[in-house]
Amino acid sequence: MDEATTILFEDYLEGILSEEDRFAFEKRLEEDAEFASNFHTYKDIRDHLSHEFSEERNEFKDQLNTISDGYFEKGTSEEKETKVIRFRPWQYGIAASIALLIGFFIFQNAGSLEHGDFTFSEQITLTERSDSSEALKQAEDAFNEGNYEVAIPFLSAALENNPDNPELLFYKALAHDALEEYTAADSLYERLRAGNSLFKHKAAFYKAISLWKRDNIEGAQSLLNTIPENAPEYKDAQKILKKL
Amino acid sequence: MGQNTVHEDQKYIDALLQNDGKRIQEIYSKFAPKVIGFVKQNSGDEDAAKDLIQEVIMIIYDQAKTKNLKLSCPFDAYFFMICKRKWYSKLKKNAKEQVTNEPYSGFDSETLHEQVQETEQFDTKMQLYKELFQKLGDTCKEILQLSFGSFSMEEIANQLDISYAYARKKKSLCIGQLTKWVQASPLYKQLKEI
Repeated sequence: MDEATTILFEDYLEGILSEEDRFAFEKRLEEDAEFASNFHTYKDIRDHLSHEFSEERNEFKDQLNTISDGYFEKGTSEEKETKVIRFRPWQYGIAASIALLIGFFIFQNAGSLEHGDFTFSEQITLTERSDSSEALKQAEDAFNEGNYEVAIPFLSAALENNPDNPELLFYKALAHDALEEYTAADSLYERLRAGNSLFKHKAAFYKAISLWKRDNIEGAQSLLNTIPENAPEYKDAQKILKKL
Repeated sequence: MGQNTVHEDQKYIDALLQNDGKRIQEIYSKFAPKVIGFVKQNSGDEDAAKDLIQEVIMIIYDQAKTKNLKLSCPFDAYFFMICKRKWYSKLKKNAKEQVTNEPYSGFDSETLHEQVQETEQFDTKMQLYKELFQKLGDTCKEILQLSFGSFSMEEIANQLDISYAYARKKKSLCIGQLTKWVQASPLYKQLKEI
């Protein structure tokens, strides 16, 4: 199978052949067994790749992860609930000192930085213009209420009309991130980082926070190091780098 | 398989296709306990069962999405059989014994047998594709991953600092390379003969 044939396969599958060429291609598929066999293998692999790397599959995988975690955690917490601890009077004293100790540690840690300090907490506005769609309004409301599961489908709907809108992509990434659907979040953060929009460094920054949350300190550090001095996130990035 | 009628449990396959969270939870509550019990009785723990179940659901999902899987037997038997056989083959691999194909036994119907076999062959082929994909060069991997992900060919060309025309050509050549490797693989020839 030579280069020209491979390129021809791709052009055919992308539907960019002229009618005449397409007709000739299909005729050859019927007549030339080797050509047909090569094409079918090529197409099978291409279908596999196209599915394997699709955002849809990522979203499915993330949701499956959440469901699986939920199912298995529930099982163990039910076991825990059945073990009732009975306190005897003398144990109250011990419990009280433990509570004091915990309080002390919380107090001790109050001065240090945590990833939670940098969680995105702004209210978003998607509906400045009067012609804003219903999906945008719904996405904005749901997002601001922290109802990310609801916000995501509305963001997706809004993205259908405007598939490359970096702002919408950014909020969708944050929503997935908040739901701990990291594959979907990362893929969107990466997409923004590859572009040149205003959200390029924002995406790097929030992905870094997310990696920090997931205990991937090295990943977080290397992302924070990509944020240039002129970006608004630079100061915070440097602060975190010192702490990490 | 075409002549077999679709079983009512196709609803579970459809639930995977539609990413229907409620129904997927139902799959767990109805069908996971049996798998967990089986794994625990066969030198595994709950975590291993959790991973196994997730892996098998992904395989079924992938087959449903790319090969239009139609279920012609009860989901319960089908799902359990795939989990069970996959678990056995994992145990064998860990024991570093020679992995021989498990004889297809213990099926209560020919339809179930065919359905499980079809899914296993699909799984084997996907594993082969994934393994060969890893052998590609970095540029190929990146172009394929990005172009089938959420990036446009223009964005990829920009990111990799190559021309649009070259990015397009490279994409088809990379799939072409995979095609050649797949065709040369003895495993693929075996699969084709079945």
